[in-house]
Formats: sequence, structure tokens, C-alpha cells
Amino acid sequence: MWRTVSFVERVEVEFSGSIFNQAITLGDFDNDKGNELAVGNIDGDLCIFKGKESHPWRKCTDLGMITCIGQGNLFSKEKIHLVCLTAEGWCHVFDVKPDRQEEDKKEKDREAEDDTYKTMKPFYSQHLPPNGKVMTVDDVDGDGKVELVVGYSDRVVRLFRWHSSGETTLDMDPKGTLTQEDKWQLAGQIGSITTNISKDGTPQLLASQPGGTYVILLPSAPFSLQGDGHGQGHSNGSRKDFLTTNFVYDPLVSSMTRNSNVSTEIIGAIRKGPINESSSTEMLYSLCTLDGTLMLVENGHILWSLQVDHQLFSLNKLDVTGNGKEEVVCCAWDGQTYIVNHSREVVRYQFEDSVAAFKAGHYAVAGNDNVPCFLYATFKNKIYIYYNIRLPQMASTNLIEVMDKEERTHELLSRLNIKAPTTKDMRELYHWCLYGWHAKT
Amino acid sequence: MEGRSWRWTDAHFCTLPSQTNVYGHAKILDSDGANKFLIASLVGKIFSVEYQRIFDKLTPFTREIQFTYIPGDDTEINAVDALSHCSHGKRLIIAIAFTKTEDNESKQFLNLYTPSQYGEEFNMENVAEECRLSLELYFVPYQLTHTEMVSNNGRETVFLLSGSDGKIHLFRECNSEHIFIEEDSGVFFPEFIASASCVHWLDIVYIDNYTRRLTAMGHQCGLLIASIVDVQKLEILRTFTVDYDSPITYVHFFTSHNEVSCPKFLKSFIREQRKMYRIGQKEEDERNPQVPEYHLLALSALEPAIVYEHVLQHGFTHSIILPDSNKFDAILCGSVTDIDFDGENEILIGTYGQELIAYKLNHSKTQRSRDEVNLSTDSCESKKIWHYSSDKKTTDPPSNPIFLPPRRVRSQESFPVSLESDNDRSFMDTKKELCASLKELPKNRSDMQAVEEGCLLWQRSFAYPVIGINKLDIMGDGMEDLIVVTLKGVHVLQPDLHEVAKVCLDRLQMLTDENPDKKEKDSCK
Repeated sequence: MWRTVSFVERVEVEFSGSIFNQAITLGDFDNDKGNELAVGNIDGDLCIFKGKESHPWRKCTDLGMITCIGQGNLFSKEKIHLVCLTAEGWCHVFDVKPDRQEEDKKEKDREAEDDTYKTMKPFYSQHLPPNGKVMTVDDVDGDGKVELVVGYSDRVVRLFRWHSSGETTLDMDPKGTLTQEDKWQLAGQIGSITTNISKDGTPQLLASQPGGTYVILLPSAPFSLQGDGHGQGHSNGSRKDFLTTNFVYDPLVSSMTRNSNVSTEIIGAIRKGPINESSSTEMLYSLCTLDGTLMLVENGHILWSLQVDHQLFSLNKLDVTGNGKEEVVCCAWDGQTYIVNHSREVVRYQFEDSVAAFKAGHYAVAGNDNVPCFLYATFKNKIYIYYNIRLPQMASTNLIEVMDKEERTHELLSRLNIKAPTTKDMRELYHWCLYGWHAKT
Repeated sequence: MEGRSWRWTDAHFCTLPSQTNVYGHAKILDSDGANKFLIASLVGKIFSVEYQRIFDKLTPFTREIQFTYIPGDDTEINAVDALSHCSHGKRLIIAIAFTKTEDNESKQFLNLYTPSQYGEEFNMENVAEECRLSLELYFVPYQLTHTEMVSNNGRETVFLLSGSDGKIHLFRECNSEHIFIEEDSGVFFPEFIASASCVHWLDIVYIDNYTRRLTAMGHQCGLLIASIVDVQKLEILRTFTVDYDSPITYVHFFTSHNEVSCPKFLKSFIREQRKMYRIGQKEEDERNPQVPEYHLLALSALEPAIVYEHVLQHGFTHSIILPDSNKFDAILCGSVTDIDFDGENEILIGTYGQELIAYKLNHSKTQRSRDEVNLSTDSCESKKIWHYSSDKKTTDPPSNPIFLPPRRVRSQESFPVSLESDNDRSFMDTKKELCASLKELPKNRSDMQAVEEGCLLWQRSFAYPVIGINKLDIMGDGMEDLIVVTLKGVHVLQPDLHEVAKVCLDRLQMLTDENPDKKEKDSCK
């Protein structure tokens, strides 16, 4: 039986409407080092929540059917922007302004002013192909610039890159366009897209495929050879892409899964150890399926897999023990949440309601102090942020086991003339150490 | 130990299919270290929470125990109790009081289970199969507990069940065939005759090598009675009473220190060492067995928690109020255990407001002059105090005098006025004021024997009302884990084991040190 825990400390925020699992994210949108929560619904409302406030800190309405929300410094600036993608194909980028300084407040104290301040407007919008359902904003080719990768409901993945047409400063609207640079036509529906760091330290783009499988989307190396006449490769480059197979399909465990059509999620770049550790930059990735398979993969090899009786729909990573290794966090529709570490030790948490969207990440509950948290969006117009998700260790352990791992223990025991003690002896000794010590002092 | 913040976190949590009540759990102590925790959910299901070794990994294990003669859906479990030894040797006996509803009529029963088969005395399944007594009760059962009884035949363990009829019923095993019968409790426990209304909580301890007994009864009407009884003569030596305005929910006798004897295999080592350095210290076990000072923790639903100190000498005259303990809805349960491993017990309180609050008593000295009092309160302030988060409104803890006159009047007037003031101040502010006011104590109070106080050590919120706090070494490692029962589940709490390991290692290091005398002094600093 797996260890179960309960979390109590939470922030409850009000947000109505249907939410896609990809349309909720945690990030530092106002660049104050503290993370906020951004969430969008299918009615076009985008809200940012900050701290313990249950009402939106920033708001924008009538955006369309929001399917994905991401973050990144898309315009190659230091500043992180909020990227919002709608089913209609609109890509809205927001420049979230931090709260005004105290002096400003004194000057403009009117409520109306405050309201306009609360309302955000996209500072860049562009119409891209419609029906995007998953998105990642990340540097997928290791060139230091951030790309926008969108997976569509017609099994196509498109990669967009920002092309600046002049100097953009912080306060000005950006000049330039997002242009399609690459395109992949996949065989199955795309569950999610993620980036991973491969063995040689270069990033790779992965997209999950039905039945617990995935493809590695290769960068457009042959692109320049073939695509001479297509210039920067606008939408007319699609024909070329269609002809070349620029991805590697990894069937992984398709034989093991119960259903080859079951929808699959993937998350990459799971840290194997503390960041400073220079030994290996390779990272792990994990997949989960709706019929309850969860696995951790390293370079095509399955490290472990797990079968559960819950419908897993959201896959995340979070370091809950604080040891530098990121745990896999997986949530099912019914609220059952699994936290699994690299050695397959499982901790469960049961959220008491059905979950529409789930995210694990960091959030600043007070000030700019980011703490690990779980985010549950329910079907009852409420989002719960459970913060301070910290566990001293994953596996159930007791004092005898912890002491046994300490080298000093064995040395001390031999000096105390205790040889080959039984568990009972150790229990007696530690009990006396902890509770009978006042007799000595 | 200073500076170490002992944060107890969930080692395991198990949910219940339906809610439980304050009497719905029991500890099963097993000398082999396989302690278990029994929890009853209201709708006829009983679970055992334990730890097992599966593939050499410590694994939490929860299973439902099917007790015979407990029908499923139309049963509500009122109380459970378990005892793991009796007059006829080591054996597990489980008692369950439940209500059965049939045709809109509810009947109460008490079932007792114990195995007869030799060698299977601790097998839970065997126990659950063998129902030894099924007795219809003509009262609503409340607390089901057990204690030892001293009779002509020696000591035996009996079950006690308090009922809505205002009596405490005694169930005794009458012969070696494991048959239980009800006997008049007043014959063996004369103090029970005084019970005025339904007893919510009962606590009994034996002192002076089973010659005297301390009994505390907390009543529904708010009456708290503590008695000192001569066990041989069955005479009540002294009785103390105090009347509260709200029902008593929990009473518990405790000592400020735990007595744990040194393991045998260490004794020889310590003796050798002492000889070697010619330390003229008496052997620990040769010391005069001192009578430990007993205190009484009394929790009343709506009033601040109170500790009556040195009950044996002073009755209810020396009391300490635990500040802010009534600020989180009704107080439902308590426990006394050492959660920071400094050798002194802390007081834990669970409330309906989903909070677990731990207080540290400043018990270091009993007889102090005024100056020392000041010192002690200062040091108390410097200790790690867990702040309330800013959004929680706190009110004044009782400022001076924490030292209360004996309360005998059923009215609010006897309460310190400051309790009713409702200022929003941080805990630290009030703390400072408290210390300041202590410094300004009038001269005539300087002769008081002890000015003691409880300070908040640790606080934790739960998802549901806290209805039971137990200390139990469920992991089998010598450290007592906390088992917190809430309305919807059981939490097994553990501190950061690496921190505990450090404490253990440091202490073992001190033992092995060449000059224990010097080291001990260091450790005192």
C-alpha cells in the first residue's frame, strides 16, 4: 500500500468557466521574482491571480476560446511575457505591468483608474493557424532564442519564431512577426509537447502520441537544402515537410499498454540532481496515459512504469523533497494525485473534488517567496492552490533506518560496546536517548 | 536543542469512509514493536492502521477488520478500546460499543472480543472472530476505557464504560475462560459514586506502587472531580472539584518528565565508564524513587485549557491557563508528550477549528524567587515561538496573574477580565506584555510557589476538526509518532527524522566521550 499524505494550507480563488488543462500556468509574469497564476477559459476571460487574493489581480476579456497559456521571453528580451493561444488561432502576448509604486497611488486614487489598471490589453497579437490545442514556449533548438511550438487538433505541430523588424524597447510595442519555421505531420493525436535535454546536452522536442508513445521532432536540418526557394519558409513550405519524415517515432511500450489509442501526456526535462552538479546534463522525461500507466524514461529506456486505477490526465514535475531531483507529479480526473520519485517511491494525495485542470509548480503566496504548490481547477468555479508542498522524504522510513545510514552511528555503537544489536535493542536505545535523557543532564 | 524547529509532517494519512468520534479509536500495544492503531468509522467499519515490512521496505498498511456480530449498514460505532494484556497473560482484548437501529428503534450493545486459541493471541483476525460478550446496554455508551484494578487476587485489568445514565460501568473478566461480566463499579472505585452527570472523560493513574490512585472525571455538566483514593482500604482520601461553564471534553494526569530506564546493555558500559573516572555518582537505579509530580490537564469545550499543577499537594489551586487555546472553536481532545525531545513533556490540544496546538510548560524549577521568575520568562520568550499568521485574529492571552484563585463559582466573573478583551495583537506583543506584567508583580505575590506559564510551541492546521491526538510508536523505532485523528481520517505524524537522528547521535557521542562529567556540563549550556 502506498503512502498517502494530506495537504491543508491552500488559497481558494474564484474563476468561472470551462478551463483546458493547458490553459492554466504558474509563472512570474510581472517580473518581480514571485510567481503568479494565469488562467483562461473558453469564454475568453484571462485572469492573473497574485498572492492570497481570491479576486483577479489582472484581467482581460473577450479573447476567444483560450486553449493554451504559456510564458517566456518570446521577443528575446529579458522580460518574461504571458502568451495566450486561442482555438481561433489568435496568439496574444501580454506585457504584465507590476503594481504601481506607492507615490503613484497617492496621485491617482480614483477607483475608475484602478479598474483600468487592472484590465490588461495584449501588447502583441497575431493570427496563426487555428485549432491549436497544446503549446510550449521554450528554446527548442539551443540557439538561445525562445520559439513557440503549437500542436494542432489535426495532428500537426508547427514551430514559430519571432522575427524582429527593428529595435524594440521595453515600453514600445514589438515590431516584427511570428513566422512558421518548421512543421511536422504526425500520425496520432498530440497529447502534449515538451522539451527535454538529451545526452549531448542539446534540447530536443518531444510530442506524445496515443498509446503511451512519443515522437522526437527533429529540427529542420534538411530544411535549408530543400527549402531554398521558400525563403524563410512560410506556410507554402508545408509541402516539403509533408514529404520528409523529420521525426523519430518511439513505440516505447506500445505492447505493454492496455489500449493503443489511449491519450498520452508527456513532460520532459526532469532534473536528475541539483542544478550545480556538472556530471551530467541529461534529463529524464515521463509519460502518462489516461488508462493509468505512468512511466519514467531516460533516453528511450524505461526506468520504471506504474499502473494505477485512475485516469491520469495531467503530468507535471516538481521537487517536493528539496533534494534537487524533480519528482513526477501526475493527477487523475477524480483528484487522485501521485508523486513519484526516480526510484519509484510513490506518495499519494487525494484532492476531494473532480479536477478540470492540474498544475504543479511554484507560487508566491506571500511576497516574492516562491513555494512549491499544487494547483487544482475544479468544475465548480473554484481553483485551489495548495502551497508548501514539501515532504522530508518520499519513502516511509523510521528512525532506525535513518540512523543506520549515518556512518557515525556504527562507530558510536561499537564504542558503546553494542555489537550486532537487534531491532528491539535499537528501539530501546533510541527511546531512551530521546525520552530518558534528562536523567543525564 | 535551541533553534531547532520541530515540524511534524504527515508520514501517512488514511481516509475513512465516514466520520468518526472522539471515542472511536484505540491503541494496540505490542511489546514486539508492532504497535497498531484501531479506528472506527461511524458506519460500522473498523480499520487497523499499522506498518509492515514489504520487500524490506517500511510500508503503511490499513485494513478493515471484520468483527463478528457487528452488522454493517445500520450500525453506528460509539466507542472502541483495546488492551493487550490481562490477568491471564498477554492477550489482545478489543471492546466495541455500538448502536444498532432496527425498525426505527435503536439499541446499544457492548461486544468484547478475545481469542481463545493459544499462539494466536495477537492475530487481529482471530480476535475479531471470537466474540466473548455481547451485552445490551440500557444507556448510551460514551467513553470506553480500561484500567487496572487492585483486588484481593492482585491486579487485573478491567474495562470501564461511562454511560448516559451518569454511571460508570465496570466489566471484568471473571475466570480463565475469558468470560466477562458487569460488576458494580462503586465497590472497587468508590470515587465513581460521586459522578453527577454523564462522564465525558475519565483518567486514572496509580501512584506509590499501586497503593494510591488518582482519578479524574470530567462531566457533561462541566463538573470536574479529582480524587485521591487509598487502593487497599478503598477510601477516598481527598476530593477536589471545580465547576466549568461548558462540558469537560478531556482530562489527563501527566508528569512533566518521562521516566525511561536505561537499556540493560548500556548500563554495564556506563558503570564501567564511571568506575574508570571515579565519578562518585550514584547509580541511576539506586536513586530514591521520587514520587513524580502529577499535573492535570483539563479541557473544557469552550474555555481555555487549564493545567492544574501538583494536584496531589495543591488540588486545583495552582493552575496555568494555556493562552489562546479557546480561540479555535471547541476544544475536543488533548495529549501530553515530548515533541521536541528535550526531556520535558509538551501539551497538545486539538480543536474543532481544525487546529492542533502544542504548548510548552515552563517547568524547569518549582520554587523560585521573583528575580528568577523574570529570568525564566525572558528565556521563555527567546525560545522559538510559533507565530500566528497575521490573518488570524488573536486576543490577549491572560496577562498577569496566570496564577488563578481556585474556581468554585459557575460564572464568568471569576475569569480574568483580560480574557474578554478582544484586541488584535500579534502573539509576540502580548508575549512581551505578559513578561512585563510578570516583572511588575506585586510584592505580596513574590512568595508564591510557582509562576508558570504555557507558551505556544507549535501549531498545525488540519483539513477537518481534530478529535483525537495519540502518541504511539507505530513505526517501531523507539520514537513516539503522533497519531492525529480528524473527523475524516487518521494522520501519522513524524518530525524530520534527520534532525532526530542528529539529536540521537549527539547524545550517543556524549555517552562515549571520555569525560562524561564535562560533557554533561556542556550539554546543559
